[in-house]
Amino acid sequence: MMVIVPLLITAIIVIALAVLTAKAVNKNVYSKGKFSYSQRVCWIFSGYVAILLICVVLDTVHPVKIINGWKKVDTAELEKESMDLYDSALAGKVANEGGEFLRKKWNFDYNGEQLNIATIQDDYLNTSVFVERKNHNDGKIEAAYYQTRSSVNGMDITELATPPGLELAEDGLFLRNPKKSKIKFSEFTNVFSVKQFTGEEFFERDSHYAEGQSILYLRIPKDLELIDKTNIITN
Amino acid sequence: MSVIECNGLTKVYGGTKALNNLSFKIEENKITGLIGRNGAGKTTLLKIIAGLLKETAGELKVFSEKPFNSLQVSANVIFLHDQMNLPTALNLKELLETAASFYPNWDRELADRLFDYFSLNPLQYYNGLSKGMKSTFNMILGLSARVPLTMLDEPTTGMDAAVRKDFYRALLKEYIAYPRTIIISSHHLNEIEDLLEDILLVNEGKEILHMPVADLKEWAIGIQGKTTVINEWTQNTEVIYTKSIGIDQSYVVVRNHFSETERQRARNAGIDITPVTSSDLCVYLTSKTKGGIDDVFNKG
Amino acid sequence: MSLTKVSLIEVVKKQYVYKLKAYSQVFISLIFLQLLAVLFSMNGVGSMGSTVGSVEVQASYFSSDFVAAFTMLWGFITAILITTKAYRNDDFVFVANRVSSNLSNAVFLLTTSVVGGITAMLSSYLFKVIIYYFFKSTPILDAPIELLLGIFSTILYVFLFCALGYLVGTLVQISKVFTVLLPAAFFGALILEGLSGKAGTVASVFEFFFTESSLVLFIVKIIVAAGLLFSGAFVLSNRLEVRG
Repeated sequence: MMVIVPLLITAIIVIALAVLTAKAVNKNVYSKGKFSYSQRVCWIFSGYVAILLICVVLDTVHPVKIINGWKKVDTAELEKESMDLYDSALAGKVANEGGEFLRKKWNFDYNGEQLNIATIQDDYLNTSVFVERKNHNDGKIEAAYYQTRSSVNGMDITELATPPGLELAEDGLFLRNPKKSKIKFSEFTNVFSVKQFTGEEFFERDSHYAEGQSILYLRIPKDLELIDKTNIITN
Repeated sequence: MSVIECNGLTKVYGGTKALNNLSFKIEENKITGLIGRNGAGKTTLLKIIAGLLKETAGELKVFSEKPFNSLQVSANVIFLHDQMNLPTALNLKELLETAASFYPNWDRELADRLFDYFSLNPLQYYNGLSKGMKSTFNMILGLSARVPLTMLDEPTTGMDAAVRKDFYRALLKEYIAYPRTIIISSHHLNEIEDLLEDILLVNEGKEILHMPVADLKEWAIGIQGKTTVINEWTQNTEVIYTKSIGIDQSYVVVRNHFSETERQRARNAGIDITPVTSSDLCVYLTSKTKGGIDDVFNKG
Repeated sequence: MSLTKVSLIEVVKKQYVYKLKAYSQVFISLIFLQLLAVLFSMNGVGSMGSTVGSVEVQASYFSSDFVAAFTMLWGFITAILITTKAYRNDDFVFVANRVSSNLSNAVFLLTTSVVGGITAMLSSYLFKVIIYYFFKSTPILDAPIELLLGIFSTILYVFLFCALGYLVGTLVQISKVFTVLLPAAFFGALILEGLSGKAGTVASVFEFFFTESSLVLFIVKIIVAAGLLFSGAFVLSNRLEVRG
């Protein structure tokens, strides 16, 4: 019901304006322009239509498509990518199969016997940590961060996502929040009289997000003991 | 052929009868004057003939068709009056063009020439015109349309004397060149009298007279003389109007039933016999009381 | 002078041409309202904010909803306007009867619907260009705009509102009581429905058209409804006298 009040107010304004403009013609009656009223209306209207057509041309000549190099992506493809990466990480084959999604690599020297892996994560970072033991003790921790593509409304925003930070301190390895990035964009949607046929929501805006799968894959020396194993998938 | 046939025509407007059981016929190609006082029902009658209003009772045929909602009647009738609404968005030139598109017999040349003669501005708008200019423009529409039935309601409203004279001449010339049925309603009978062939006098929605103008002139006479003598003379005739002049003189208008010998006797009895002008007669016939406005002031 | 014979179609055609000129001011109010709607649309019809991974997303949505809605209202007002005495009597200055007057009005309203529908949809390009060239700060994402479907369905909606306005206007011409009665009935029903919280007549009428997802059924619904509204107005106005 509350929605209706502003609608009604708008309607009343519109009605008042329409009536006023219609009445305004009576003022015209005493003017003796060189051209008749209907001719002037014809010109004004042609001008309006011309402006609209110019805008159509501008829009087609210079399409207001995705700019800043963003690409359109297929959400279904992204989902498959994300599943595949996770599967290959589980299978320990991520180094071979996930090559294209490798975002960052770290190498740490670590000679301690125990390692604490802590993830300092907010809800917006959702990284799965995989740990694989190497066959020997070489005192090196190899870390690799993989992330599949993310999208908003079918637009690839992967480049905007910065990889998280990884630090080796005395008592452990810390995974830190990536730097937040922000995007703002405008989107043109169909008019309601189209949406009712295309099955889009009437007043709700359709927005889909696909968050990419992000995986931190650690390879640690054979006998290194992990203190806390929660949230960690060991291979 | 009768252009208009009307039988027992009645129109009720909010409880009052604007037209009351009116019956008459109007023949083709005649100029008829529709005469009556304010509120006599002239405009109502014309509007019904034009198909704008619907009759309450009675029968009306225009070109053998009921005019209300008849496209044929509308196409063959043009009705112009001083309270006409013309589209405000069109200037005079466009109005003429529009009229030309609707009426197949439209005479463009005549319209343009009249337009120039009366020095109207083609770029002006109808609502911006003065009363007289509006009437002039209506007249141009009415004449140029060359429609079989042309009805002009108070066509000279607001026109000055010179334009009125021009208008009457133009109307007559057009009529002679292209005869058509014309109805002019007016209170100025004396001005249009020479133009008219027939006269239809209405009062309070009723027909009083319908006859050729020539007959109307003979229809009644005025007699004047000593009141006692006059009273004696008018005992058996229909008295239309009486007026006292001085103390013992009277002027009385009566139906003209007198034979030549009777007139001679009257003159011998000291009675003056004078013709009554049509316009005076119409006033007398449509006045509410026999004595006219003088009665209001005659308290005695 | 011989009588001229006229056919209804011929007279309707002439009246239509005449009305395009004589009623031309309605197109000025159309431009005015559409530009106003474009201005309102600059603000966006909606926005959303969300976070995807480490990316904070803020989106504003733009559509021609306002323009289409304003154009529909304009159709409604225009239809009422041409039923008023000043406009209706204009017809009878020249050749007309009530059938030809109503028919030419219907054709005129159909024309205004087409003009309104097309310009409403094209005006979405106007604000697209304005946003793109004057507010370059944010990138713009372009969903595929169904231009032809948009034009077509908007024309039908505008025509439906014209038909409704025409009937309302005709009722008001028959009796001034309706100037009070109709708004009272509409708002009364709306408020009652709001209070009771149940979907009543008004809501179901809106649903009947606005939630129809089959284009064919939608076309049928609009044509039947507009046809009924116009026939109602035709029948009611057939006795209407030309006064004043």
